[in-house]
Amino acid sequence: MRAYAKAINDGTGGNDDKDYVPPISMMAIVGFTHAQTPLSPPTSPYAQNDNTVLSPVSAFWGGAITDHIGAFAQVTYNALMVGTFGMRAAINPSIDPTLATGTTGTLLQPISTRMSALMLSTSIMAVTTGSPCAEATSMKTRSSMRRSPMAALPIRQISSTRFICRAHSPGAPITASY
Amino acid sequence: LTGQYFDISGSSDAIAYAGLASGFSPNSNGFIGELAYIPFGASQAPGWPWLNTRIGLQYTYYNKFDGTTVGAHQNNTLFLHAWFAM
Repeated sequence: MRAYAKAINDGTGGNDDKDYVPPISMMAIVGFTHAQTPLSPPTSPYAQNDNTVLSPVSAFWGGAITDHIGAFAQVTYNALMVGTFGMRAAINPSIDPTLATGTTGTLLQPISTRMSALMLSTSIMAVTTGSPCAEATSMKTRSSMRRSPMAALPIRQISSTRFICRAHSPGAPITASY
Repeated sequence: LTGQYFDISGSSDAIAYAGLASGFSPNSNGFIGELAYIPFGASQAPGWPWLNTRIGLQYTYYNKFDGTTVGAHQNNTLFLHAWFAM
């Protein structure tokens, strides 16, 4: 794996002899949500309005196992839905006739138990055509990362915006731009 | 800068949507507008060249929320976020 896991340099050249960088990556989103009308309780563990939430948090690993087989794994944590990404999963009593009549029993349980998830996923990918470019490209796109250690697959950065993928099979290098 | 009209529709279900507002219906529609800035899109983050960030301010405006237009605007949401990837 070390042969592929070359460090990504400052974008000034395509030197093969760079330091090793682990083929790992991560991402996180921290968000602040303000609703026009505060949520009705219970909103635990959140406040009724103006919440700051860290979600999701992901860590990734990806690399080559053999010339044509690679693996990709991720661990992702998602916080409770309330307050996440502008979505509002709670109930406003002023527009809820059920609540207006005082029958609040159905509301107590769903909010506090609403989806909070830790996800672990692993995939093994085989590159069958001898062109690792497609895999490397899709991985980079999916993780929305530029110049990340995701480029541990057979991909070499030659400038800040251009990459060269080296095919294992005979033939000219495939050039792709991002 | 992005803008979007959304319309969510589905059949009413008193069990699946027991936690929702009136009518046990998921039907909602409205507009989402977002202003975003990516600080290291063209340049590189100093000292950490593979860091990418995205800062966004998003506003969701509801015309209908969970099956009703009454009071739907009260669900309008402002969302400020910072996205880090490295």
